[in-house]
Amino acid sequence: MNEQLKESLADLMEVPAEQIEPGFDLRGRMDSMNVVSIIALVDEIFGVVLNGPDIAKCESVADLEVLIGKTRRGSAS
Amino acid sequence: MRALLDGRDIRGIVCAVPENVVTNDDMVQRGWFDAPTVKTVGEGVGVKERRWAIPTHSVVDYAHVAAKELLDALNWKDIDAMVFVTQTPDRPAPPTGILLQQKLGVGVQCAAFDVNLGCSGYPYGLYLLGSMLRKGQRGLLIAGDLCSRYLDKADRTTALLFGDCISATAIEYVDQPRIGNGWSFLLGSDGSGAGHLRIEREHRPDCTSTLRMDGPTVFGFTLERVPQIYRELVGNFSQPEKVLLHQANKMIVKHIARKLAYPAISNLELRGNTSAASIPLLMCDNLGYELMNRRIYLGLLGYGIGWSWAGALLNVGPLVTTKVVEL
Repeated sequence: MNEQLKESLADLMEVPAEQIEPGFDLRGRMDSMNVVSIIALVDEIFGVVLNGPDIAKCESVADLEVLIGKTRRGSAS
Repeated sequence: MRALLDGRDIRGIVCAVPENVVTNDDMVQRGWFDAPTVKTVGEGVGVKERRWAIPTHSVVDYAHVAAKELLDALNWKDIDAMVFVTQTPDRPAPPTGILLQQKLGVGVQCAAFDVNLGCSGYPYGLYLLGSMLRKGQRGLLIAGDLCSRYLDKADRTTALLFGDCISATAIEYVDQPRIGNGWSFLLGSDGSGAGHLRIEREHRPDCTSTLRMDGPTVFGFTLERVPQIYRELVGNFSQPEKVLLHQANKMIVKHIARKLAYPAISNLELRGNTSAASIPLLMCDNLGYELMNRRIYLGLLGYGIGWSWAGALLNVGPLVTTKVVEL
């Protein structure tokens, strides 16, 4: 996992960075402020803007990584 | 739409804000939100306090205070046109601009009407009024909203964010257009965003219509679209000395400024998002002294409800007045 993404998510979720693994549960943590923060940090790290409702559907960090990958491939095509 | 205007100049700006200050602590004390929510959301949007109009003061009252102060400072006895940009008129009809013509006591030759635009409204209004004026003519652009009239005090995404302000900007067609005095605009609209930021009918005891916002989608739109709009606006023109962004919220201003490689200029902490008035209020709050003492090449970017956007490149100053008055 991208180290900057890992550290930024840890800051946002207020947990130690080592807890941010693909299986980390995002359910119940995706209020609008956190969704907005994820849009901002992904844009800063990867230069792509994720769709807010799609982020809110992510149940785990793995889902978020898949979404980032799909969006990056979409913006590159 | 791209547009160029020449020979128009801004002479002064006055903004009217309510005396009534509502702090984040006030919101906790009134029981609208708990302290942790106010802390998290308040820090996220970057607002510590905002001004909200009291019920007995109208949009026209604030516009009158701002416009009168401005006309007196300029010693203008009359004007040829007045464009009133607002989405929170006191009533659907007659138009607010016409009510203000009568209250200000300017002559009946003054063309006056309302324009229904929000956060993009200030650059749009500069284009519209600037286009109307001919040599020797003068006009007022009034832009702003009393958003507090449409807030659900239980909705943290809007109640903590929005503040009230009505701005007045004096524009004149100068007799001798100066080199480098042109105004350049880029205006656009995309109704696919209509559902994400809107005022809609909701019959609640405290008001009949409510401002609703899908924050993440608004954020995504601004982050993706506004830098493109800016690049298209600037095109082959030189880069402005300063860029003034509509004060949507702290995260939007910070991230767009970063993407444009300009310092973030903001007055959100004490004003909140003041819709169409946010750019002129920022000019008074953060650049007031400079604008009264020198000419500055500015980029202005308004974007939001619609979706709608408007960018302007223009030289402003030295102005006769930049002032914030209270009512």
